[in-house]
Amino acid sequence: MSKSTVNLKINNIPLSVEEGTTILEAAKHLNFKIPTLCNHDDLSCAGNCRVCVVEVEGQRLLSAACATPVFEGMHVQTNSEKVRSSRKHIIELLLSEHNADCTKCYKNGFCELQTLANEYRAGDQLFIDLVKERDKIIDISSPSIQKDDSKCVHCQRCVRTCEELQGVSALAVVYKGDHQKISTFMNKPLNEVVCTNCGQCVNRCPTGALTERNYIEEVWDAINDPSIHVVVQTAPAVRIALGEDLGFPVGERVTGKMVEALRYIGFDSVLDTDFTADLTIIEEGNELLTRLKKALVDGEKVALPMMTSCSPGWIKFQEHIFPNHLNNLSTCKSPQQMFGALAKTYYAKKKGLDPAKIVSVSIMPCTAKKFECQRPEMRSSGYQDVDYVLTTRELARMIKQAGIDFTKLEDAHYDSILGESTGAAVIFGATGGVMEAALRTAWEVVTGKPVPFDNLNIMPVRGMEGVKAASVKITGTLPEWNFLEGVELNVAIAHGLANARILMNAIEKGEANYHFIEVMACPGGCLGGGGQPIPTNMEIRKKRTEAIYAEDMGMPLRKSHENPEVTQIYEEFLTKPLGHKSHELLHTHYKVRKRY
Amino acid sequence: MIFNSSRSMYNILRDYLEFFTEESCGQCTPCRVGCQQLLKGIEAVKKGQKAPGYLNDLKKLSATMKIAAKCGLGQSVSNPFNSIIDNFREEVIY
Repeated sequence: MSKSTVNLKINNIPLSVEEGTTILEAAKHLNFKIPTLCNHDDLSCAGNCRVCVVEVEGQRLLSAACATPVFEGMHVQTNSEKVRSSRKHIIELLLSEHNADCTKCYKNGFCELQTLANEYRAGDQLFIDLVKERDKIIDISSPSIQKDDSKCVHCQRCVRTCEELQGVSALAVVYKGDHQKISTFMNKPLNEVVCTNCGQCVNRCPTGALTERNYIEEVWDAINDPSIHVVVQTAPAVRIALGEDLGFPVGERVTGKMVEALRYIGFDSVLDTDFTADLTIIEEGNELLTRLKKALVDGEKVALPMMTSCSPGWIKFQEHIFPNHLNNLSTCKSPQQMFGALAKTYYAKKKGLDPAKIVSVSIMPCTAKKFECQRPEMRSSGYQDVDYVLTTRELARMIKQAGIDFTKLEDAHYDSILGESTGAAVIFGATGGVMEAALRTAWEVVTGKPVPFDNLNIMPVRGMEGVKAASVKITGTLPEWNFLEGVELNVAIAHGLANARILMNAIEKGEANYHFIEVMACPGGCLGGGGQPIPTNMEIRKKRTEAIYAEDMGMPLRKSHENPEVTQIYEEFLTKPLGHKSHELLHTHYKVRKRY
Repeated sequence: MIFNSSRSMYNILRDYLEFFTEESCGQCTPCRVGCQQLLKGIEAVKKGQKAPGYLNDLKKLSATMKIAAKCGLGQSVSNPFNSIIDNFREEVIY
């Protein structure tokens, strides 16, 4: 049954909208902007900041436009005297409990409260400063996320993000009235609670209360030290989003310009995480086929379904919430950490460099990667494999600091060795991408033929559904793989940890019979990562997804096993997939973590 | 509510505002921050840290709370506030 339409007037202009539309959405149809703060497209409606109040004729109270559905004959005023003065009061109230030390704030210029204060000229400090001393102590315990309660405006976007999108609830509202604050379990520091470091809260915080731990100065120091060789790797999802912070529209691919900008900044070698994404496919694909052989032929008890291990937020989630399934996780390191281990071994050897004099930087769409690079397991080169992780946003800031006019840059190419990649690696940035890349290669290994999909595009594993499942019947196998002939390979994909939990619960109950599962901690995959440009919402994620697949289609090589540098590294260094060297450098183990 | 003439209306108002500040759930801005501002505001006027005219600003604030707070608690703060400020203004100031 289709919804009926409702007729109303906003600022005396008539319009008809679908029943159930909020005043906020209806006003957008007429291009009336109603300011918001606690509202976010990805989240449920809270209606608690009251910045969006509007006047509805005949009502004594103002209504929150984000929380009020329209009704027949409604007359709304979005800019009456009553509305304007109330809004200004509300913004002034928010400022009075906010540590408005803007010039020193990391979010200076990107702060939604600052923008509102500026629009409403609410900077006269009418009200008494209420910032509490207790809140000025900044929590820097986590290597990924920094929490400064003195800048919190209690919009609860972070709380809703953590609960609704991620199902983690590391952040919650505690106390009431003037003592209310956003805190963790038992007010513990962030590194001691069940926080996956995904950074989705950081991406949604309107102010500087939640920010990534930034390592920009450390990276400049390394670049400026002539005795240090600084290598940088860039993740697949950075190239399709970086432009958003530097003057390009959403969905613009800026791979070549990003490489050129990194050279200008002064990195000694600009390399690509995509190379190790291809390598991941070779290692992980072989691991999957080995597990399947053990299960189907040797009758051994192996942990199936095998689960991907590229997303450090997902890994920490598993370690906390489903520690009984750590054996299901692929032992492969994430592409970032594979790269780090190779940069200080293979790359150093080939270039004749002392690994102690290499600083390895990675540009990631992710805040959890900052945690991952500091894990004690990630030192297989003998040094910390990846020294610093910068988010897409931090790189954009560095490019601005360097005074580079990004839009006018020429397109450049990655340096070689560890710079070559295929389309299969690029799609790691989108949900379902690792699955698709793995299938492209595994299918060809097993059957000797390309996957039977148009243009290699495996559409069933793509899309924004929270949990996707697909199955492929394997036919036409090569002789050594004939134990897979006729086998129905069941795969599933989840993105966003709330969806991952749904999938894991089904597996725990024995309701699902999958062989291979891909999970990405962030909605949409890495392209919707916590370190990506702000804002990120469904519409933006869809545009970034299109860009990722366009980048894939534009690559001359689109299957990981066809990457010539991957072939080369096995010939010269690693010898064979899952070999001794691989195990030493490219594989890892996990640990059980407490739930409280 | 009835009080005899020996009671300090300033103290009564302060008690009201302390109650609202503490009992506010803290969700919506007008109530959570508004209550704190009214309380600190009358204390500042009493101590001479703010000019008596500041009470007029606070009255405007309480009018916003009355129409913009999410629930009845925040909306009702302006009733005792305005009543006492309007009828016993000098007791609050001096």
